[in-house]
Amino acid sequence: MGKIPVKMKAVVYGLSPYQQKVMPGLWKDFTSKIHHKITDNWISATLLITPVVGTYSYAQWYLEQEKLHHRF
Amino acid sequence: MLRVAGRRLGLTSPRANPVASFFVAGSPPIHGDRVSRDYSSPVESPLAVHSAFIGAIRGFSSKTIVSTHHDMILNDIPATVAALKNPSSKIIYDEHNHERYPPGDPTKRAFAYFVLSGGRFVYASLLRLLVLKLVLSMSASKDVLALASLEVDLSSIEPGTTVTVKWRGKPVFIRRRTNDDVKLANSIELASLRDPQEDSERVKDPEWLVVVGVCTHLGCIPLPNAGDYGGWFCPCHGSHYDISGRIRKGPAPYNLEVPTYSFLEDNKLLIG
Repeated sequence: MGKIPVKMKAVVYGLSPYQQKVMPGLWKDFTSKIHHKITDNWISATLLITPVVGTYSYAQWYLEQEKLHHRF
Repeated sequence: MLRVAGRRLGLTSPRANPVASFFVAGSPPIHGDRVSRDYSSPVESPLAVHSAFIGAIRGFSSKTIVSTHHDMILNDIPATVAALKNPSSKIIYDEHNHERYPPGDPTKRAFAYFVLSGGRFVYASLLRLLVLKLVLSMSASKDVLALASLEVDLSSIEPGTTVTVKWRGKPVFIRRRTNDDVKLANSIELASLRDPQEDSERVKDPEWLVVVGVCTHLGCIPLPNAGDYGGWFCPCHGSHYDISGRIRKGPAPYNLEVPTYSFLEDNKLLIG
């Protein structure tokens, strides 16, 4: 109860699924899809990975320095 | 068009030759076509615009589709109305994800159902696996199956004595019978028994009698070497069993049960 669909004026043509190629759309134009993903998301990926890698490498470096410092 | 042709005909009738007037009487469209073809341009160009408009409205145009509505003269029709008014046999779909087979190709229904039924076989086997796992987890475990059969050493049993062993939670009587016992067991006529059974079908070796020591009446344990017939006596309600474990007197309905057993080599008995 309650939800009234919003009416739109549109003309929609649909094709039977038995008349379409089902799978090949997945790897059609694959390189440009990859390119699209990289160019869209490289900032987010950088912001996600950089703190992790930076913190890890800093901790490793600090431990190494500490060990060398306490070596006699 | 015919009206224009008629006006043209009325204007030019003094100069028309008899052949032309004969054509007018026979088939006017041909004459009108000729008139519009050889007529001068100032009248023809608004006529062409008019006919194109009529064709677009009536949906006769096979080349106008939704995306080219700006080619039409009427730009103020909304696109959906234009699509409704111009049904076309050449429909263009979005083929970004799913490319369309050429329109003449047969349906690919069989392939789709083949793939789907392959997946359904996988689902069915998975379901069978899960159901069997659940059901078999409720069946007997390995430690129960390990106690299913019992091996008894018979060499230490004296003739005429009864040994009671525990097998599957129940006592099992193993009696080493003497020759007198065997003769006594065979001397009884079957018609007098409540549960008629030969002694030979109850034992594999006449020397050894192996019966489950549970009274068939209400599940008590009979006492060996007691009763009126030299066999077992159930103290609960007074059932008397003879030397072959057959019911002779009392309320019990059947003879003592004989378990499945087999003799192994060197005096070993395997019960179960």
